[in-house]
Amino acid sequence: MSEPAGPTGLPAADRSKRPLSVRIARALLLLVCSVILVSAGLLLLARPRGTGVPVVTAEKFMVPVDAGGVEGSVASLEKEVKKLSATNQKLRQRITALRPRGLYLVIDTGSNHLYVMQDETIVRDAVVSTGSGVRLADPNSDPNKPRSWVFDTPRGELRVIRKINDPVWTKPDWAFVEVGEDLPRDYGERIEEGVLGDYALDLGDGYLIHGTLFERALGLHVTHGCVRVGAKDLEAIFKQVGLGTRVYII
Amino acid sequence: MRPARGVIRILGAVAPAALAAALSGAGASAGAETALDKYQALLQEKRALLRENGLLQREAALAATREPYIFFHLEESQLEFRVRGKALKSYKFKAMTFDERGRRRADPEAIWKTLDKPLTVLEIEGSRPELIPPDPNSSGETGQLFSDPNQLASQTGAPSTPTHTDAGVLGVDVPTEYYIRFAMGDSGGGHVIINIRTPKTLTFRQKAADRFAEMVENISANLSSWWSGADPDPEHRPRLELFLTTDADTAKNLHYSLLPQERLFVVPPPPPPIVLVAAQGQASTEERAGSTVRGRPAAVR
Repeated sequence: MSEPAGPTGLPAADRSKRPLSVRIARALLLLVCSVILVSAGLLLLARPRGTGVPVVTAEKFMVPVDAGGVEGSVASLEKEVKKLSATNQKLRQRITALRPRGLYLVIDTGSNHLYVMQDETIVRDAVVSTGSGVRLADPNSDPNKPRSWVFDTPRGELRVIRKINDPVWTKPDWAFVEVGEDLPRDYGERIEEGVLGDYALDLGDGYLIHGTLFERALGLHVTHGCVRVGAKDLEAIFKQVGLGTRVYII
Repeated sequence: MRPARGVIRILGAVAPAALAAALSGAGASAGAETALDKYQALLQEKRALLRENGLLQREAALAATREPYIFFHLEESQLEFRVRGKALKSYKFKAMTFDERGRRRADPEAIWKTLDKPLTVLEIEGSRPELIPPDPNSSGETGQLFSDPNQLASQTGAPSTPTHTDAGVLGVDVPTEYYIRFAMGDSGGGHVIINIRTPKTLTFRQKAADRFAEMVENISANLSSWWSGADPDPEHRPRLELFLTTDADTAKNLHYSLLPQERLFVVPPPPPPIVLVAAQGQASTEERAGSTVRGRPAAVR
């Protein structure tokens, strides 16, 4: 009676009789295959996930095959292109008309520079200080109506609404809260002279372009929203700028 | 029956190409090839004008106000601050990528297609540090003024002793690496994140470690996505996340320049080239989302 054959077709006894070298070779082959498979799997897994943003290489458009054919479509496209060009030209003109011209100020809150501009030319470049962006909450305010301030310099287009010689600072509430003092009952306690320099340009809503006692802090983001300028530059700017001058803060 | 269906299917696939060939073939004798070229050029011009028109209309509306707005030039990787239609300052970036490591370069056309509505700044990481007033009841001269005590030291170089001062003397330092979160459209358009990064120089060992960490992160992300199936939290996932690389000074200046509620418009890049396809009964030349050939995700490029 013969021995039952295994899955390889060889009797089990014959398999054990294979030479050692063949068995080692087969084991090595199995190992290499496993390593390759595992590596391939890992490589597949290690691929970065898609961002979900499609890459557009080209766009398909249909050739017009209806009445009129290509020539008809070219004619209608020409009309559309002409109309669109005219519309865009009008829009560009409308935007250009809004652009600042003449004498105006530009304040860059990023680099802390103030530029006096005459059309496209920089007439004066001054280092200034702008808003710190800090938030101050009033610890004594009603918890149901908490009061806080953010010390940002306002952005956009503003105008010089007032020119002030020897400005006097009327301290607002935050000036007391910031240093942990109680709000004064007497209005006179709010008045402080000589801290805003010799001149100030009022931009509205309590924001001024003014001088400073801390000239060494020019170039830093240190103010409560006003723009501080050095004494020399302030004098020159004050003399150059008239009422209604536009101030662009970006 | 089956072979007949197969033939019909093949004919259906070949017909558009044959039609296009017939059109151009017929044109060779009658000058239609020139007409097709002209058609293609006009179509491309119209698409460019349409893109420009969209941007100009948005700008015209905002330039009529006193508000500042930002243009994001994708082709030049540049942010431009504008008021009343005039560019007043700009910040240029060295690289624009979809990933933190800077391996997946961001495609302007793909970004523009994704950001089809104006963006509004919602949040800037690291902005609005809180100023804590000194305690009037304490006997000491002062309290701690910043919510982050390290800020005092980082700016002055001096240890953060609680000497009385205010933001008006010290100033506030801002991070050089941060994110800006934008809302897309007026409401419900999801959000977009732009990350500002500074360039890094890595040693060979750091690069190798970074590469290995990236592989492990990818494996973990892929396995977790396969395990959980669909995105478990699509609501909170940004519509797009971009990484802009620039130097530290520019990063800081940009941080100081941005305020919540500022508007950002993406300046469209020139439209991609057109492929004309012949198809019976379809003469639409409108630029539609359906006509876009959607390629592979940018990540696997």
